[in-house]
Amino acid sequence: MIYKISLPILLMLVISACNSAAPGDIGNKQSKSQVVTVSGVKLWVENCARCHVIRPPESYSDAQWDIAVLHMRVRANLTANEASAIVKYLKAAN
Amino acid sequence: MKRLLSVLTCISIVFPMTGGVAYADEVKNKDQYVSREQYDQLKREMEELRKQVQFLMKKGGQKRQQAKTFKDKEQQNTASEIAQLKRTVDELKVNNEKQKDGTTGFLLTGYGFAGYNDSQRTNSSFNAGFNPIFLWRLREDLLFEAEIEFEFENNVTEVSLEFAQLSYLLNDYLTIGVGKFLNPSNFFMERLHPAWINKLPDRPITMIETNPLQANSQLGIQIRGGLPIGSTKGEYAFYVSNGPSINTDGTLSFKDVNDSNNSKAVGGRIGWFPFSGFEIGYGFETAGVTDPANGSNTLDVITHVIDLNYIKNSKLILGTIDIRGQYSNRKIDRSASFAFDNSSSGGYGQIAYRPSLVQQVYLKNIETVLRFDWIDLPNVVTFNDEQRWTIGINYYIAASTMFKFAYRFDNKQGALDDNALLFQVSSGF
Repeated sequence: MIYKISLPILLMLVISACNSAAPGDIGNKQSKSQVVTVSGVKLWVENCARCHVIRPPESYSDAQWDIAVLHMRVRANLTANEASAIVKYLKAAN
Repeated sequence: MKRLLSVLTCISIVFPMTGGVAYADEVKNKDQYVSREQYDQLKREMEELRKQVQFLMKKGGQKRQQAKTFKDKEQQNTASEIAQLKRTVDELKVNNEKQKDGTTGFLLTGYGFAGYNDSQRTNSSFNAGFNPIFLWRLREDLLFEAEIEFEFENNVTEVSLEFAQLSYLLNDYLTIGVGKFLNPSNFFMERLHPAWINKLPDRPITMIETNPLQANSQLGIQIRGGLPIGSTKGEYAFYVSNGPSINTDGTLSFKDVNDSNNSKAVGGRIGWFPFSGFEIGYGFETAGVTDPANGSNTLDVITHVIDLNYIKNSKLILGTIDIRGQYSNRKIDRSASFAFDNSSSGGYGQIAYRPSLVQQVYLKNIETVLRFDWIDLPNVVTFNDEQRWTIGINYYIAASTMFKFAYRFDNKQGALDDNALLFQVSSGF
């Protein structure tokens, strides 16, 4: 029983510690002219890494990313705007 | 042309100067006149200069003509290149038409794995599986997806349909799906169970197929999507599906393709992302199962699920920390057949760390994992509560390919523990 109680407390402490410092956030160092790309990168990292190791943009061609991101839009409940920004970034970076 | 201008300029300069010299001579020798000889000399020089000017003007004209011819030729070449480009674009248009949605919008993806399991309760054994996923984008708003699982176990190749769903994206925030789909109220099974994603070689105890608390997949219809909530985001999924049936020992069976009664399972999950990398979710399912002792009696089954997910990539910790947790609680009505408190609960908590931001190439590919999972079953002799700790070390040889080594410490109440050494290599493609 102690395990079950201590585990969530331990997890919350780790989360709090990590969330207080975010110097490594992707996108913070980008210029305003790259807002669209930054948005795509950020969404790509946040949404894909939420479940699995992110696959590099060059893993798929443009046409393949269209299909893969549509699949993930359904599975990961991405909004249309999020999916669009992600696929735009992946196509620009592959 | 430049040369001509230079000559004329020189002439215009030389002539006044010559005149100045002659005038100076005249002033100097104002009593003298130009001789006939001098006059003829000047006339010859003048004639010579006139010829040179005419020659240069003629040459300039020829050059202008050559330049014009060259320009015309350039224009012809450009026009020819434009025509060629137009033909290429037309060809591309034709090819693009051929590749429109519904003809070639197809992607084969999926994963495969091979492993070894040496546990106390069973003989040690190798295992392997291959799960191709077929994605077909019929239109921009229509997707068909299916996964088939081929798994070599117990000397037979088991083939099963993991999911087969047609999804229609009604608008930016709502998708309708019909068919067989992974259980939306079970976050682990829907998002994390594939071998190339799961950080340990085995699943948490509440997800294993001998007695899962929830279904792995559902056969029915669902609506789902994501919604912005102020500066945060939420997600939702609700479904109606064929319900489970109850076994003679009071556990549930989720393998029925056809529903065992008219009481459908209704469930769903809502998730909220209050800040980057963190999600908390609540899932539920209500269903009715037919009482084996009385066919007209339906027993209610209610399941509640809470899940928590946090992923952070930070320089502070030189890498990525991945924290997961899921807790399920299921209650089935009492009846004459099951005259006990038929409640079950269980879940898992897992933490993984990978120093992905260090420079050392081998170190950055290593990941350590620790998981605690447990299940509390009804307090009757046929069931045994169980707790497990599993530690694992993974090595990534590519973004979606890893070797997993793990050891599981098991504590099964009133029965032989199932400590196990586990190995798996998995690859997503």
